[in-house]
Amino acid sequence: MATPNASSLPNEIYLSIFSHLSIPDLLAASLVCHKWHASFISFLFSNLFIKSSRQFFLLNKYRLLKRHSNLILSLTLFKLHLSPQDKQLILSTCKKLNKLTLIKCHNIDSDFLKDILRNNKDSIEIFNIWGERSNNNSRNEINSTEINNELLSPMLEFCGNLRELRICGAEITDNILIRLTSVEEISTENFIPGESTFGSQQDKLATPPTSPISNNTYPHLHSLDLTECFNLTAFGIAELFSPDNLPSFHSLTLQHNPQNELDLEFFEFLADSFKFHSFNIIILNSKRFDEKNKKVLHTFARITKDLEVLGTKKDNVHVIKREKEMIDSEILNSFQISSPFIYS
Amino acid sequence: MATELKKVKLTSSEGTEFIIDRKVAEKSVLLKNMLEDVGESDMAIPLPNVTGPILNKVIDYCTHHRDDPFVSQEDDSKKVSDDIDDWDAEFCKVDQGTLFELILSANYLDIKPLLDLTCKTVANMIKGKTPDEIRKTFNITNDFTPEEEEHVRKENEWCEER
Repeated sequence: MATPNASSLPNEIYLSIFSHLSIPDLLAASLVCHKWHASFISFLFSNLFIKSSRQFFLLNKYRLLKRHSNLILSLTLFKLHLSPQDKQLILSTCKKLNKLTLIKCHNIDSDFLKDILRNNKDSIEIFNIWGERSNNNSRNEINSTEINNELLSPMLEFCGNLRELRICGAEITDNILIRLTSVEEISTENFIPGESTFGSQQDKLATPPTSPISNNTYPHLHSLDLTECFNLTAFGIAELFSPDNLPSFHSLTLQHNPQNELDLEFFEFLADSFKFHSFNIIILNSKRFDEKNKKVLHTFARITKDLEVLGTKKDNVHVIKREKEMIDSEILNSFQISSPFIYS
Repeated sequence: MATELKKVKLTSSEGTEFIIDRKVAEKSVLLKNMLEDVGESDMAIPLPNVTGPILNKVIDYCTHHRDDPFVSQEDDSKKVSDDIDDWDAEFCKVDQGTLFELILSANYLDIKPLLDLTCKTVANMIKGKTPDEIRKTFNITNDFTPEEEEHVRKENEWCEER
């Protein structure tokens, strides 16, 4: 075997090396030689992270998305104002996504979500979305698209291959959870067989909606993260655990909130009833309660303490006590997104 | 634990035999899976892709880190490359050929922390350099024409956008 040198390594090795570099260093690396440039392209496009409309403009100007569309496996759109053209460009290029992440984006609509999930339904296994709840925004900031039932419902029929689903900072209600666990009542007009480009080798698990389906509409769904979803109630959560509904389901992340019924008793009930599932419970010990209402703070402190006791008592409960809401870098981390663009 | 006392036999590409603790061998996910599949066996495991001197280095690494907790795939993705400890830094003070062979072996044997360490070391050699300085460092020939280079620079514009 010849001694390896810096221009003869396999692509995967360059990807590992590049993952330790910042954007300026990566740009220098891209100009070293053809081989490094090709790896640089595959590094950035396999895990594409877009955070400005100008980036879309430039990507389009050099037809980069079109040229490298077959590389894009993970797409993250971060705090982006999506124009109709941007959406069209994404829909026409991203057709083998494994992971899609939308964080605090503007102008997302249910048609876009439905179309992108449909285009990628055979390959997509991870879908993450984080909205901004309207009640806790600073005055001048324009809110990003609210994540609610109407927005998400149409795409759900194309989520049959999902393993991980994270819907966070959302105004969703129990209805979404009920849809996740029940037999689909799909209107056939929504199903256009010819539309899926990658439908050539139809996955047997992506059952066509017209045939009678078993309850397992989401047979692979393993983990569900519902951080900062405060309209959910114990009834909706309980649906997730109906026998045979979600056969692969294992891990659930919830955030405690004083307004709903997700209280200590409920968490204890879950932990006891479903010993083989793991539960992450987030509790926010927000200082805002202090100013508004001493009493609420008092109750909250007690619940926090009780939850911590529960966490140490039960193997399958992990309590995460927080003082502040998640900041963007924490959101990216919890969505397991890493990209050199995050820090530039 | 019984498995800790067990020995494992490995042979490098040129046929040199190495006998190591099973626990050390199990730092390699490839070997760990093999040992689990094969079960009890005195047969040497052939490693045709790894030379003796490199295998020796790899065993040094795995022995030093034998008691480290196993890090799962996606953990700590945002760790920066400055966090190399003294022993590891000393371990990586080798010529480039050896460093790249270590990378390939770590990749083949599936030893994630060693792969990370060696790739970080290469990344540190790239940091802060111009393309030309990088080429000099690694003895790479520039195969771009000036026009191609200009084209790449233009295309890269989207990365500079904040």
